[in-house]
Amino acid sequence: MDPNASHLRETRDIAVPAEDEAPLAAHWTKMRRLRSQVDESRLADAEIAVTWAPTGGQHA
Amino acid sequence: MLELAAQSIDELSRRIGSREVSPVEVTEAVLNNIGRYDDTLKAYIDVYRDHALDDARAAEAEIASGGYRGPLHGIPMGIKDNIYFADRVTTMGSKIHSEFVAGANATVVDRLADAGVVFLGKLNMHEYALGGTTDNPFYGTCRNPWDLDKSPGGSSGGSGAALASNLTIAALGTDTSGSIRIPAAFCGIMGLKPTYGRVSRFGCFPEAWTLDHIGPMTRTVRDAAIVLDAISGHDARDPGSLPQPPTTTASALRDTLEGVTIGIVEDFFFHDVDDEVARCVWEGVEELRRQGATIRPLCIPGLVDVEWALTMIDTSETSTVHHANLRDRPQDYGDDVRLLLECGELPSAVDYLEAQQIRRRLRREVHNSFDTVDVLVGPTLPIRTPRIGAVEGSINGRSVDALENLIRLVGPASLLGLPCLSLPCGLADDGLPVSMQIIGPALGEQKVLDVGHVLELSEPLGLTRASAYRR
Repeated sequence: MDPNASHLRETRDIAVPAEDEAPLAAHWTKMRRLRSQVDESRLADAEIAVTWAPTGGQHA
Repeated sequence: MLELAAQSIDELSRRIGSREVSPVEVTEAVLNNIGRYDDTLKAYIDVYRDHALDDARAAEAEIASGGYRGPLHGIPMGIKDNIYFADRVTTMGSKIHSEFVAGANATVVDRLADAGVVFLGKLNMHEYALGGTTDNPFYGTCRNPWDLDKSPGGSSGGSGAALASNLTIAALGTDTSGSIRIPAAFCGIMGLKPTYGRVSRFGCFPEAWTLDHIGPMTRTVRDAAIVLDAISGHDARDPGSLPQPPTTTASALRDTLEGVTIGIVEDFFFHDVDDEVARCVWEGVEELRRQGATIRPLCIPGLVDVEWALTMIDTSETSTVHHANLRDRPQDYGDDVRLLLECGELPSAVDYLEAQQIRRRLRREVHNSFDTVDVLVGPTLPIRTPRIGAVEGSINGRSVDALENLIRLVGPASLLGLPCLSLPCGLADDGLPVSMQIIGPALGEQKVLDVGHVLELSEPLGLTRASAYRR
């Protein structure tokens, strides 16, 4: 089940007003669509930290 | 000669340093403009009138006794109101922090104070920097000096509007997902987002910890370089601060682009862009070619994932900052900000970490592209300047989601922490400014500023400046 307004109320104690429910759902629908377009081979990476080293190279 | 309040740091510094002009005269000129126009523009949240004049008199006395500190000495500047001044209110443009007083100056404030800046006050912003309009429900709707019915952009809209209307000589803004570059573009001024970690974030209220930047907003490229040189450099109080000395970009600006290669990623940066915007940017590219640059087409396929990765990271981090207040006092947020914070509560830990993986992979891809080009260039924004209050923007007369399109093209430099300058490159057929963005490799501020400086020399706006606010 997609996270939605009920999910936020039940798990995060966030009281979502009625007028936010539809745009919240629309936002997540869009995020699911964008995520579905991600090439999952690009996720095969053990690292998550992103910082810059003095020479401009990467520094974990 | 331009009126005092319209002059650049570079011009004024020569005149102040030689004592032709007093910091008091300059400060009074700017304060007079604030008094005349800010009721309409709402560029400021708080004006430090008496304090600014005291600072200006102190600068005047110090300079008269031979103690000239450098190009920023006696220069009046406005500071976005999410950057702390000790013992003064910093509101973040919010109701919740309407009485917040920090115990210490932000590092950037200390550095500007050491340089002798005269602080004019705190500039209006989108609430908590969480939006692209500076339509602030608590401190007033900021207006675009080019057209008072149009948005100045955000979240550093007060900074952009003040610069375009000569209500400050220079300003600081902050940029997480475009908040320096968006108002710079809509207000026709310069906005520089430095490399992540180049400028200390200490004493700046966080929007998203791994995306936040403080940077200069000015009327000229050289002025942006002068301010960057003053505020940059390692700060142990910022855990993300790079172990780098301050930059020295202003004294090294180039006047030609011989030997410089400019990359154009046309399928990303020119995809679904208003024709007038594209025309102005391509004319700017041609000018850069005339000034000696080689133009090289590029393809960076991974850019298509920027929107998802940036949204996951930005909204998750922002909502973490605000979680307790969103839970306990949601009614004290503006409606648009509250909704954004609710969106940030949706992603899972897996979503956030996958977004960071995308970020890391894309950083390598873009880093490799700088093996063949010095900078990337494209439009800052794809849309025309929207009307105040509009949730939609326009591309060739077609309505599009404004917020989504504000972030779309500025997203890569945001996500990857790369230095990026937005500067005007022409006027659209409606007379409003259009800007291009110049993206450099990490720590490549000099390259970015060099290209911008050369374009600026061609005077893409001619003598046209904002004037609607004067009527």
